[in-house]
Amino acid sequence: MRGLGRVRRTLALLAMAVALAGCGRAVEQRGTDPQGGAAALPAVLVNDSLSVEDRCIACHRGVLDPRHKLDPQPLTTHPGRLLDIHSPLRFGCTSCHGGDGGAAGVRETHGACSSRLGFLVGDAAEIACGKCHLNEVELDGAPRLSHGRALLRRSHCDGCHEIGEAARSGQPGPDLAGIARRTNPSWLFRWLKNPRDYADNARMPRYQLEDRYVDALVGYLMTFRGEAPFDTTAFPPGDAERGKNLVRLSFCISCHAIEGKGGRDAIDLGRVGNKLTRGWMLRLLSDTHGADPSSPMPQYRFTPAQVADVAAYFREELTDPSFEGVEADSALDRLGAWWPDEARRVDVGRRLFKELRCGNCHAFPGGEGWIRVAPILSRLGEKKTSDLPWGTTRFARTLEDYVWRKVENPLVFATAPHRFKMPTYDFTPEEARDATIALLAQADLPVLPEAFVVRDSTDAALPLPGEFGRLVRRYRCLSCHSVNGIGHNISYDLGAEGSRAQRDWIYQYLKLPYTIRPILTVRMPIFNLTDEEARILADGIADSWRDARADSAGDFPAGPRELEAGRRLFERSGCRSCHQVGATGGYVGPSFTSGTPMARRLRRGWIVRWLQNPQAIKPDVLEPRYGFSEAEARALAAYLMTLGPTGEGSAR
Amino acid sequence: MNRARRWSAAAALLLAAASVLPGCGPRRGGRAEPARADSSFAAVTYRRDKSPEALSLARGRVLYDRYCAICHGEAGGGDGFNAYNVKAAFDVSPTAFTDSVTFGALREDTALAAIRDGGPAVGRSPAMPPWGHTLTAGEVVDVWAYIKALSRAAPGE
Repeated sequence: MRGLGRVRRTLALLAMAVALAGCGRAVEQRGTDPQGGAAALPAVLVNDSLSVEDRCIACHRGVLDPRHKLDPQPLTTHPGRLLDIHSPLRFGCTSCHGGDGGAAGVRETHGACSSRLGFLVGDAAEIACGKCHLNEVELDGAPRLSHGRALLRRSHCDGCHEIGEAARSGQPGPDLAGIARRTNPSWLFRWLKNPRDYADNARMPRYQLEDRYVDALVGYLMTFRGEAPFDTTAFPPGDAERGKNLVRLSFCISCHAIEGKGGRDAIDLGRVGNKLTRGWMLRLLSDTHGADPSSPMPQYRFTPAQVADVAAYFREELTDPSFEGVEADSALDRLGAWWPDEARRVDVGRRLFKELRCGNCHAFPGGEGWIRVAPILSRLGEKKTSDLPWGTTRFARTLEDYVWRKVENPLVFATAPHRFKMPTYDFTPEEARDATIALLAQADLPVLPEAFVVRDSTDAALPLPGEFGRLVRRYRCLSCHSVNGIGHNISYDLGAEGSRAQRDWIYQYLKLPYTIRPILTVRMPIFNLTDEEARILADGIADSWRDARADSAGDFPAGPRELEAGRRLFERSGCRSCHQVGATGGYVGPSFTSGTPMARRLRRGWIVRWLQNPQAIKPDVLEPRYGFSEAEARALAAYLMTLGPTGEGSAR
Repeated sequence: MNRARRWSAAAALLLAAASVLPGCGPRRGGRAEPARADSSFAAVTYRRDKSPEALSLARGRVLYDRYCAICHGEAGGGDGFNAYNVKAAFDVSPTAFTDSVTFGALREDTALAAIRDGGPAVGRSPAMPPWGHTLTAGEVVDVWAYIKALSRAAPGE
């Protein structure tokens, strides 16, 4: 009997030991903070699965205690709130900061490095985030890395380099077939010389070519004549004033900037008249996805007369006469005259086109397969500095410095002109720093246990069946919105929209979008949906994009007692500081009553969930989290649902 | 004499070369300023001159601009763009940190409690919501540090 008890006790102890080992165990308990509290830490942080055994907190005593915030190093609190979700008890210090956590002296710990990247502090520590967060583009708490990853993605480095785990997302550049019918040689010359001369948010990099080679490329590209020209006979001449009005009403500037105002995600339209022929403008606007199947732009429901009006506006008002001609670039004077004859020009252009691997980003007639010719960057962090081609430069010889300089100016290490084919993205030193952090963040990818790895799923496919799916694709909803993380983040995630908003309101909003939040600048375009289309979309959203927890949260009775409690909470919480109710209230959040009252827009269960933790639903929202209990959130939600157009609640 | 002249000629030549050489590089389009040769990656990712006070203040500024300035104003004058609406709805104006009388009457623990638990917790208007569930304890300290800096920077102080 007694033996059995001992066995049981031993088993329990063993189980405890296993559990502790799993989440990072604290070996030595001595030397904890004399003040105790939340900041109590063991002297050594150990996690075998991460090969961590860190003594850093022997000196850095205050890392977890906000009371040490203003103390000098090494006592000060860890900045930011990353340790809230990455407890040193689990991850140690060197997982993120590198260095040698087992060493005793300051120089040995900070100077000597167990990894090739060495000791990472400040922004450079974000390099380590990439060890676990393999490919997420938006990482809360790692702004530099997030920005760098966005830059890499936007720059499509993966066209020529192998990078990380990211799958290649198709060819980013437009199909070049028929380019001769879409634009003109002098625009093409200026674009190829420096795309950012045309639009400062151009995505194509700048190949630092001599004028005569640019000219040869123009000659070659202008041989891509494509099929017969687009039939424009069905289109009237168009009226620029009407076109301008239509562009304004359609909220094109949510994505495209015009004269300095608007979104930066799509190319600036300020000089679109210099670029596109009228025929191509008409084709693009009337058959957007036929002209460019991979375009993120929605298909608008313009009539031929409206399309002609927009084209007229582009040609008459969005053409910059100073952009073309010899005044803009004296080399344009010799356009087509750099080479002895046209055949030679085209031939040089063809060879250059192949050598620069333009086909890695653009489809073109007779295009060959895609071949990555540039060095593999997936495990850049493992490169030795002595192996890098430093040329004759005298910069600090670290891997970080090499990558930073190279990204900032790809020719900086070139010993002879054109020794390197890499184009420049004209990054500022700060952008180059962020891109460098993102590139180095791919180091040591496969060595971590799977339990620590976090992957991004924004490129996953969303099941979009039937007519609903066809409309979501036609109007490219996912070019701005995401659905449970799949899609883009220009606007908010629609994954729970069916649980958030009422079906009738979704229908009305799709028919005529309006600004719900007074301080928002980006707006949903007006698509002129037919009643049938709006109904199918509203039904699809209301039926398939739901959140079960929000749905069940609304399932509660609310009597006069709850409503009265809700009213008191409403008064005590100062909701009207930010929200309008009737005639008074702030202009920060959406009005509760004007336009469509919230009671006819939102669903009760979703409000309950929102009130309990708004940031869990929308991380960047300004609304404070009040810490309401379930009962309080229910009472308040029930009261809010009674607010009529003038702000009177039924509980009054 | 001769030797000195030869040296100065060599120095002039070197100087001329140094001033011409940077112009030899490839043309840079639309760039403000490239990374300086004497800078380093470490220098652009870590600033050693940042004391804990400066870091706290910088963090407080970001938080203040994001959450507080809408009502209390960017400079802390109690004149954010939403201040008028708050006055209309609650008949109180957001506290002006730049007003030495108002600010002088504010005790540190009251202020911290107001940020954390909202106006009603310290006997003031509910127009001030509680931020203790949104900001961490450390961030509340940061915000308060920045507010103190705003009041010190106010004209007439």
